[in-house]
Amino acid sequence: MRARDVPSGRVGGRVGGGPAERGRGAGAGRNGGGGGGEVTPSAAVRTTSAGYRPRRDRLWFARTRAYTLFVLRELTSVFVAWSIVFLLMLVAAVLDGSLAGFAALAARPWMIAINVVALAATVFHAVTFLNLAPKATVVRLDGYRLPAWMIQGGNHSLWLVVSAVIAFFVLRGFQ
Amino acid sequence: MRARRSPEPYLWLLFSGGGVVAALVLPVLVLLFGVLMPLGIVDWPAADHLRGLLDHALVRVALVVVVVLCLFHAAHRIRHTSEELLGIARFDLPVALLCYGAAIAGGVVAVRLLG
Amino acid sequence: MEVARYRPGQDAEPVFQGYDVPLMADWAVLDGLNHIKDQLDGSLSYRWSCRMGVCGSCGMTVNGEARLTCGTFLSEYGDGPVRIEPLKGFPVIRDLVVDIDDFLAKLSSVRPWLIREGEELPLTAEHAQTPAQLEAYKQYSMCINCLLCYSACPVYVLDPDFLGPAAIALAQRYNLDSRDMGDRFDVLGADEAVWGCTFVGECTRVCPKHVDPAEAIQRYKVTAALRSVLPWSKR
Repeated sequence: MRARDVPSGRVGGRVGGGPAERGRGAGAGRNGGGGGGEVTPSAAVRTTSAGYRPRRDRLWFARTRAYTLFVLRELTSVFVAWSIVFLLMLVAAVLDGSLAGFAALAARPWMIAINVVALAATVFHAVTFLNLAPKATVVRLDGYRLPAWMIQGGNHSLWLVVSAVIAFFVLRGFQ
Repeated sequence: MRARRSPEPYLWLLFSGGGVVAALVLPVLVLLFGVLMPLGIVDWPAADHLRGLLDHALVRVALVVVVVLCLFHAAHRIRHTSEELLGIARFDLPVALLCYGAAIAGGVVAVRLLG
Repeated sequence: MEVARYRPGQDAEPVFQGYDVPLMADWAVLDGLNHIKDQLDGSLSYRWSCRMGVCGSCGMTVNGEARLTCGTFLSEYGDGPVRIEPLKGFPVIRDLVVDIDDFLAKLSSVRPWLIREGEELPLTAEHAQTPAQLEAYKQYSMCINCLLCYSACPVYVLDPDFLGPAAIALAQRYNLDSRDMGDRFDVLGADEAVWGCTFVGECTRVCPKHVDPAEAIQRYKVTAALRSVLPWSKR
């Protein structure tokens, strides 16, 4: 930031003393600066300030729509875990030969309710996760980046194909 | 020049891999076994047919991989989200041990079932 | 307009003060603040400089969202009131002025300069780059250090030890520069650096310069993860 205009008051004096060198944990095998680099400041540089710091906002996730969506996206993981539990129960039932009992349990209304929510959550997870993938993967063709929509399109196509293959084997298979 | 060895890169790779696997395979499985079959929209496949699928070594290996990766994915997110939502980041170590421990336990169950 | 006031020694915590500001079609929020300072209450403190989204001084929380006040029009909020608070996540020095020392320390901790190794070339030597080499990092070099990404990041606001979006994007600006030979793994690969990020993505959304810090962080996660798993791969 250039040319700061602070009409009154001061820009708080740096108490921590510049990029404070706070070693990252005892015994951090960090090369304390051989060669050209002198001080390697840690990521955990932290200055202290006399300014007012508000208390932690317990409801931060409810403050904006984007935060709420983020938290919902993260909470899909609970249903990912549930889906795995459900899948393991199914596998155990098939191996025991007690599939009928499992089917009766799965048909209980509360069980269907959980699984409808789990379906919504896993779909939400799939859409968000596959859409965010191009942020981490940069594919270069001919020196320039492949646009995000191509990677996303590829991901979603793969999702459809995998789903179709699984459904085929579960429902029919090669008789 | 390397920072203190941290487990985070490995946990993140498991989380990402699990995220992809969960996205690709879970929705269709939940849709079929959790919603359509219990509601009677699709008939339950014969027990023998499912048994036959599970008898394939490839299917068993794939299932174990799916279970382990998805559980690590969930554990990683539940760890971070609970710390952010409840403000318990100072208890990161016990929270992490609990989350990843549960994922490992689930993996052991899967291996014992399918091994 | 409802403006957060904090006068150290006088207020124990920030209080809101209301001001009636005329709603002009061409007024940005910053023009409203200037009207207050010039006409209504000269004691109000805030930072601003260029009024055109270049200097990065006038970032504030406008109706709960981190915005550059020079680029946010009052008319966006209808008849108001518009709530102006200092940027979240930083200690408040006075009224709308926040202490940015923590941010500056984090920025310099990533060694934001071209690191060269080997022979020192004469100052007249050129380091030519192809358009593709320029394109590889250009987006990350557009940052104006306005702090909006830190303020919008719940991870940073909840835990100020997190290295944060702009600093990591700036590190990537140099990592991806073909002229740079440095290695910032010791700083970026730390638990409080890229691994602290949970990819909320708000940093990218609020960035007035389209730097996309979220992408910079995720890309470095891949880099750092591959380097950790494959110890022989240097980059």
